[in-house]
Formats: sequence, structure tokens, C-alpha cells
Amino acid sequence: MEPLVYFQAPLSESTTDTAIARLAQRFLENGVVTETAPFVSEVRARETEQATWMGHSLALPHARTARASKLALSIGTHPTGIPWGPDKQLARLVVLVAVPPSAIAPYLILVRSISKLARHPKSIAAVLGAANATELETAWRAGMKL
Amino acid sequence: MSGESSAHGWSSRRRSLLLLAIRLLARMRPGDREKVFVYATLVGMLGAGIGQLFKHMTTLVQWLFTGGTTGGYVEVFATLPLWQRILVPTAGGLFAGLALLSGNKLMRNKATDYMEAVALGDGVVRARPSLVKSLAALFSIASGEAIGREGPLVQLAAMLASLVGRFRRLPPAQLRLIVACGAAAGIASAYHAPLGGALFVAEIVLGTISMESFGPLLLASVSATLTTKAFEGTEPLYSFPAFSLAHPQEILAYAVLGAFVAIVAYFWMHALHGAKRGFAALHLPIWLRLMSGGLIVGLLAAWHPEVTGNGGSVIRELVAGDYGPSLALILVLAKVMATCAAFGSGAVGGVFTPSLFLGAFSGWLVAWGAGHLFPGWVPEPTCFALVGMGAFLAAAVRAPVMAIVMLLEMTMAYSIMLPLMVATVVAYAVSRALDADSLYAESLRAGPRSVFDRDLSEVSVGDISRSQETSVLPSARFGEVAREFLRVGSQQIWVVDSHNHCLGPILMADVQPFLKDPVLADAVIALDLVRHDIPALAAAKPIADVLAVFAKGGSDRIPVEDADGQFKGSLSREDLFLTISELTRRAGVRATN
Repeated sequence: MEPLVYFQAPLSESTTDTAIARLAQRFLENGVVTETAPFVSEVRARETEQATWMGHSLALPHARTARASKLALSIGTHPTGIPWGPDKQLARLVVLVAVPPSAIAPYLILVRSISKLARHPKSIAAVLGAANATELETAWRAGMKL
Repeated sequence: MSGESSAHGWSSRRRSLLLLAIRLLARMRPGDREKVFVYATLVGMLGAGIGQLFKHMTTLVQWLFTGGTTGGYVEVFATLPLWQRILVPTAGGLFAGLALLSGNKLMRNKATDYMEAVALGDGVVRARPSLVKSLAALFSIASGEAIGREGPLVQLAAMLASLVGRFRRLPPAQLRLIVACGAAAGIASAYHAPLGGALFVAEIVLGTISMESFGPLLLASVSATLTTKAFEGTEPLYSFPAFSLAHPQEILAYAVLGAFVAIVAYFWMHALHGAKRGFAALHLPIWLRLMSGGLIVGLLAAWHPEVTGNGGSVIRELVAGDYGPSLALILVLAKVMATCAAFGSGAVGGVFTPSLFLGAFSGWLVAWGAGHLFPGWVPEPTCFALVGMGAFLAAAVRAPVMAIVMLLEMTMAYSIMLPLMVATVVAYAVSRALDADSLYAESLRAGPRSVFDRDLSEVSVGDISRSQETSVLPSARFGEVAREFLRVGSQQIWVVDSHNHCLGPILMADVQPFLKDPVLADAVIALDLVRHDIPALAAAKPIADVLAVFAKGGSDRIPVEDADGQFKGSLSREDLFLTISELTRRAGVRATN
């Protein structure tokens, strides 16, 4: 299952909630979800259970929900970082994931690939250094091929 | 140096094989059914092991009573002075009675017979009462009472199986099956009869021969037999000279033999139950009752030591041609009296081998009588004796297939097959026509009642669900989930929140390829993996209403919750079908009674 991917750079939102809402908007625009508010509240519920700060400036907010029609990613970068989780770590790369209920294995594969990208110094530097959505997409796709 | 490198090579090969086995096991993803096979094999070995222990303990106590251990009871008793022949079984009865008396005073629970636990109960065979009963059996058997040790052997094997099943928290349906495996192991190891042991339990106790239960029974029997043979060798219990029918018409004589032993079996069972009623009518304290039984056996043993023990060694001497007709007749009568005295007084032990004794002597006497009635014909008395054993067994326990198979296994003599089949079928038919009770009718009628004795509509999901399932919190990291999967080897782990609400299962099938991925260990939590498409069942729901849930396919296991939504455990497809199968069987038995 190849995920749909949307890019947003740079993000201007400075809080977790607003950044998630902004990235979720791309799902609404592309028909991945039909409403953003319920989807966002599910993502928040997941964050409450455990923050999705992954280290290496990466946060991976997500929700596995029947509201998601497809496996999709909405990726944004922030120049200075958004305080994330209880420890207020600075997330410069935020990857919002919508996971349909049946997509457990594709979701795990995706998380594994994203974690590998985040741990690869050159790739994460290229992604975080992207000035706009096009550069971000190029850097992201190159990093995910590793 | 070469030794070291060879040892290193062997160690390396062993490690490779172990790794291969682990990988294969992980790939096979053992489910409930496969686990039952493992438990069955284990309880088979344990059953045979405890059987060996009991045999050695019996020998030790026999030595304490008599000072002799070489040979069987008959040989030892033959060397004793008359007073000791009388005293030893009397003292054995007294000790056995005192053991039962103390057990009754100290323990609230009565020992559950393995047959009751499987055929009527829910598979719970309590350990302490069973051990007390076995201690009593040890005194009775070691003192030469005319009773078989197969009873306590099977009881102990079933008790261990019940302990294993309860330790693993198996639900009633699976626990019954494991205890049945223990019983099959006990019989198989006592008689070196793996197929006979499995058939005994399937035909008599479970009342069904379906692969769901017969496969595990066979595995338990085989592992028990192999374990026993490692200790006792591979010789058949009863050796048998070569035999062939001299003329096809000779088969008619075996048909007559079948009818004859069925009649003898009928009177045998009446005698046993009559003896029990007779002793009960005396209203003696238990220790005095068992001592009286022992005294009668002792008095008979003073006259003929052949009455002591279960009769196995006397059968072997009969088959070897050591007895004349008058002695054989006397021994039959004395043995019947001795066994009735032991059994009737309440001595703990089995009457399976004494029944074989009676069948063998009946067959032998029929051959002798036929030889005198038809002077031109010389029937083979040994063959009649062995066929008589099988036919008698079929009539006494109402299990013809088991009787045929067990005789073949005990003698390893395929040449008796044709006469054995004819005599067994005739004996079974005559026994049914006489409307005789089975030897085990009492155990199969009385005993504890369980969930399986209710009507199908009265059994709820909660009655047969498994509690104490493995669960994790929604926030549990994937690394913890993976460790739990590898630890319990289960196909699912339940995600249960801090309020004890079940969110659903994480299925092994969904996550297996990722279990050892260190990258995911901290990045993913249980909540990300839980399946929400398996709705919980209400514990109060009748099981008849949930058949359709499983019939649709999907998960093999469904969570169960109470009226407040609290997680109570899970219901498996296999447990449900085993339970319904057993409920239906018992309803059928009740309808025909």
C-alpha cells in the first residue's frame, strides 16, 4: 500500500495543536478525511496516550481510524521547532499520518522507514534544510529511498 | 584437541538445530490445538513417570510388609508363614483405612475420580485428596490385596494432568481433554497399550472418537508408553505361542466362548456391587471395613496365595500351562471372593486386571470343557484364555473396539485377531442383551456436576471463557508487546486500559514480521496496533447465541466483558465447539437413560 504524501514548508504554526490542524487540512483537501476536527481529536488522543516525539527533531503524530480512507502523510517543517510532548522537545519535522484500520503492516513499514530517515544525518539535514514544499518533497523522497 | 573440536562442532550443530527449531516454531505460530498436542505429550511423560514412582513405592512398602520383593505378590506370599499371609493384608487394610479416615477429617474436598472429572465434571482432579487416596491404595496394593494398581496409576496420571491444565489456566473443555490425556497415559503405561489406552478413554470416558480429542489422547498414550518402555523394556505383557485355526468351523467355539464370558461378566459385576452393598450394610468405621476386607483376602491367601495381587502373574502362569482344571476352578472362585472382599470393603484400586484374570480363566475352562465334550478336538487353551480376556473386557466395560485393540497390544499376537473379534462382538451383544451395567457405570453416573450437565441454553459465554489472559496497556511500547508475544507464544494479546476495558486484541498475524525490529520498539505503542473490528461478547450471553459469530469466520478468539464492560477474558472457537459437542453428547446420554 503506497501512501499518499503531502508537503508543507515552512510551517508557521508554533504549537502542537495548530501544527496538527494545519497538516490535517491537507488531508481534507485531498479527500483522505471528510472532516478534520474529529480526526484531529483522535490524533490528540493518541498524543495524550504517549507523545509521538521520535528524536532527531522528528514528531510523528498519527491516528489509526476509520475516518481515514487511505494511508496518507502530511509533512511539514518548521524553521525553529515546535515544542513537542511533555518534555517540550523541539520538533522541526512533523509527519502527520492517517492510518486506515486495516493498514497495520503498511503503517509499521512506514514508521520503520521514517525512523531510518531521521537517523540518517545527511537525509535529515536535507529534509530540515528544505526552503519550500518542492525542496522538501525532493529531499524526503531521496531520504525514503535509502 | 580433536576431541575439543569435535565437541565444539557438536555444540555448534546443536545450536544451529535449536535455532532452526525456534524459527520453525515461530513460523508455525502454534494455536490452541497445537498447544494441546504439546500438553498431551507432556502429561503422557509425567503420567508414566509418576506411575513408575508409584510402582517403586509399592515395592518398597511390600518389602516393609513382607520382607520380600523378588517376584510378584504370589511368589512372595507363597514363601510367607500362614500367620503372615493373614496378617499382611489385614494390616494393609487397616493402614489404608486410617489413611482415608485422616484424609476425610483433614480435607474438605472429596477425591474426584478421573472418570467423574472427565465424563461428568470439568476436569478438576484435586491433588491432595487424590494423593491421600493413592496412599491408601499404596497400603492396600502393597499388602497383596486382590486388586489392581492400574486404578491409582491412572488416577495419579490424571491428577498431574489436571494440575498442568490448571497451572496453564485452561478452560473447562480443554482441561477435560488434558485430564483425559492423563488417564489415557496411565492406562497405556500400565498395560503397554498406547492405542488401547487412548481408545479406553475415548470409548468409555469421553464417549466419542473424534480427531479433536483422539489425536491428543494418542500422543499422550504414545509418550507414556515410550517412557514406560524406557524403564521396563519392550516385552509384551502376556507372551503367546504361535496359533492358527485348525479348521474354519473352530470359530464357532469362540462365539460360544464370547457368550459364556458375557454371562460370567454379568455375574461378576453383580458380585462386585453386591459385595459393596454388603460391606456398606455392616455400617463399620472405614478403618475396620478395610481391615475386614484385608482379613478375608488374608484368609484366602493362607489357603491359596494366588489370590493376592491383581492376578497378572497368575494369568501368565495359566497361559504357560501351569494349572490343571480343578486348580483353575478353585483359583477362580477364590480370586472372585478375594477381589469382592477387597473391592467391597472400599480398598482403593482397580478391578481391570482382576477382570482380565476372570476372563482368562473362563476361556481356559471353556477350552478344557470343549476338549472333553468333543474328544476328537483339541482346542488351544492358551488361545481361549487370551481371547476370553478380550471378550470378558468387552462385556464388562462395554467397549469392544478397545478390548480387541488392548488384547492385541498386550499379547502382540495378531494371530488371535479372528477368534478375538468374533468372541468380543458376541460377548458385547450378549452383555447388551442381558442389560448388564458397565464396570464403570457407577463412576460414569455419579460424581461432580459441572457446566457440561446443564442445558445448552443455560450455559453462558462467561461459563466457558478463559480468564487471566495476557494483556497490555494501550500505552505499552511495541518492544513490550513483542516480548509478551515471544513469552506467551499466543496468537493475540489483549489491550486493556487502566479501567479494565478491553480495546481489542493485537494479533500475532499483524505484527509477526516486525517483532524483532529495534527501530519500532519505542516508536509504536499498543494502541497503534489494536484491532477494533472484533467486538466483545457479553459474559451473560448464552453460548447458543454466539455460534453465528464464529461461523462467520474472522478471529478465533473474542473478548468477553461483564455487564459493566469490564474485561473478563476471552472465548475461543475451539472451546466453544468442544463445549457444545460435550453438552450434546451428555444430553444424548441423558435422553437414552
